[in-house]
Amino acid sequence: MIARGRAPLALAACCAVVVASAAGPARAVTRWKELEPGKSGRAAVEAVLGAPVATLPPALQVYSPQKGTGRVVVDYGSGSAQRIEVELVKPLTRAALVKSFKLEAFHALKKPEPDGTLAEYFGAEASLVLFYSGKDEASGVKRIGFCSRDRFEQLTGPLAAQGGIPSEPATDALNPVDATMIIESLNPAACQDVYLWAQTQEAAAKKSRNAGRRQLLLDILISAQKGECDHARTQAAAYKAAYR
Amino acid sequence: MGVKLVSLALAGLVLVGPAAAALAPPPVVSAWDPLIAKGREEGTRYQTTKDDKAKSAAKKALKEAEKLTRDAVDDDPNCERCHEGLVTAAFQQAYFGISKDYDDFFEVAGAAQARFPGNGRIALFKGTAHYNTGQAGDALRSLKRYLGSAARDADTDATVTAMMQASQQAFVANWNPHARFYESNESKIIRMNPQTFKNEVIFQVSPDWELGSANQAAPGLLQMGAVRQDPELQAYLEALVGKLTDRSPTSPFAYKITVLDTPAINAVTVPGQIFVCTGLLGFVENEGELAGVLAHELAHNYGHHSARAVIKQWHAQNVANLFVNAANPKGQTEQAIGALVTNLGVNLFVRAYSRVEEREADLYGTHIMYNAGYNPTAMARFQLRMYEKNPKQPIGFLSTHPPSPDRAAYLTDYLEAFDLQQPLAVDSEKFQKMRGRFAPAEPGLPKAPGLPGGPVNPGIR
Repeated sequence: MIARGRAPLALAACCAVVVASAAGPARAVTRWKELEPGKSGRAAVEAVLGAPVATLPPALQVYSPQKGTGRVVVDYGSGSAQRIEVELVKPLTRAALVKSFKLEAFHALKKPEPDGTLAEYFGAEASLVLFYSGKDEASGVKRIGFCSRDRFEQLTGPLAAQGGIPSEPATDALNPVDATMIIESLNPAACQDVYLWAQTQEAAAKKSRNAGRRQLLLDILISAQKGECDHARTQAAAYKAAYR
Repeated sequence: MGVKLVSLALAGLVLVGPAAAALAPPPVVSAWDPLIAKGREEGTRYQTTKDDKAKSAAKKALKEAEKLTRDAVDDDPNCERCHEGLVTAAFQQAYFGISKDYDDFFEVAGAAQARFPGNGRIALFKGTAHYNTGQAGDALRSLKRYLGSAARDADTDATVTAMMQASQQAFVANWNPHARFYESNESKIIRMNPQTFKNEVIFQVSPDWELGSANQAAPGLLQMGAVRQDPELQAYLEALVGKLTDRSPTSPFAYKITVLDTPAINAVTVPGQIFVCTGLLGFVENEGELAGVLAHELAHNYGHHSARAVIKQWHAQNVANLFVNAANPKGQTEQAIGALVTNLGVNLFVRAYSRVEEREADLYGTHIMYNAGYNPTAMARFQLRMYEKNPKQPIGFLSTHPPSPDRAAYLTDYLEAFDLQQPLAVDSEKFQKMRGRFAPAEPGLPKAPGLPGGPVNPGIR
């Protein structure tokens, strides 16, 4: 999608341009073209990227493709660029980018985007996100997100709290329960069909004044939403048999 | 301008743009399709030229399309295409300014989505309308349904993803509208001084005032049961509450936790204090459920519910008194408020929360949980288990507390907006070790003894 309608540049050249423009995580957060998320204001951004070509509400500005990249989207807030997302003209490999940005030392956590594609968050000091073309690493990175610390924490708050991405040591010290946490990673999207079906039954179940029926339906809804798909499907079959 | 860009792009994508192939209507062309197309065309022309004739033409076409689709829906409520047509006509009327707002659209779209929850086109229009009206959570719920539907294409996905990212940020960041409570008018009593004809603040809620009112009520709450002395449990609960508040940093208070030995499945809060019954600790199945109950209690504090209730009650009692009518109005008001708090006593905290406030605490609580890394579905599961334990809950209109099945249902709806497709905490070994000390609650519904005004029904207030 990134390279659609444009002649893709050679992979190596593209990688070189993006990475040469970036300052590694030795600084506060990863910078790109001397732009530092959280610090660089709109004027500084537009001195580098030119004027925006489109606006997406509430505060996203879209800039024309830069040398070696696709479009650039900047999310402004609190007087500065909070997130700079750079589309690549052609997907790059994870290994190349991890090496180039010197990300080996940083903890990373992967999670799917709303559209099912994979995103990888490199925590704390790096504040950098790799967005993949598909559901796994093999699909290649299609977009790179450079974030301010605040925005990065907004994006990863729940993840950071579980130690997936290192949080501040002081916070960890305050959270002794973390050491014993039992974490589940489930996929609610896998049983969205059951969830949506159960929603169509809600009014009838409530109207029936049958507590057992309503309890069973709520169980299906909650299980499907949580991603406990086997349980949700079994219960849905039982519901259909009992209340056809 | 920005909002219209997305909306315009979307209207174009859905109807004529590159997404048309994926989102194109089935081959059968209904009578309203040309009208909707004409309405869009004229509406777009009006937006560009501000030609009133174009607006009139758009209005005429879209009204006619609406009439046709309404009739079709009345004839056959199961006609999905008819609902889609009605939703499209209503959306375009709102978008082009033919109807004054999105209210009519939301009515038809809500009905259509309830009947066809998996319809991607309806979800797309509804999500966009919620986005355009700043309803981030509702926008996320509908746009996710679009992404889960068959009615997708890459270009529309890009627009939807941009809307979802912006909505996600707003949903995560702005869940607590009372974060600046002390600066808001809700924390003040303002009256016009008849001598100066200027508004004056004659009472201002402060953290100290809230904590003071809580101290008045605390002795009454301690009658629920003996205070349990258990340093390890105490430390665990304090750490858990600390974890919840650390990740949702607009809490107005630090919290004291008191564990009460009573079989009641209950927890109660006053500003800066949470009372946890051992019956609750035996009933919750995992740390996620306990975190949900505590998050609900914390949410009453984040929402300043007791202070808002006092101010509201003062206004109700002084509705006719538009002017300050005494030489020392400020002092008198403070006295009157103090008397109000004293009279309400414990009831201010355990009974006076309205259904609206309880719902608010449930919803805020899901954010507090999620921010701390817990899967908020545990809160819905807890309400379901309460319902299973006590299926014959009173459903009286006089009850200020929403019944558990309703709470589980609206929580489930609300949770659709969260990104649950990631690792989230559900339990901890430490909790299970702690829980082993408490026998499961007795069958039936134990009641908290000795509260002023009668027993407290089990449930989380």
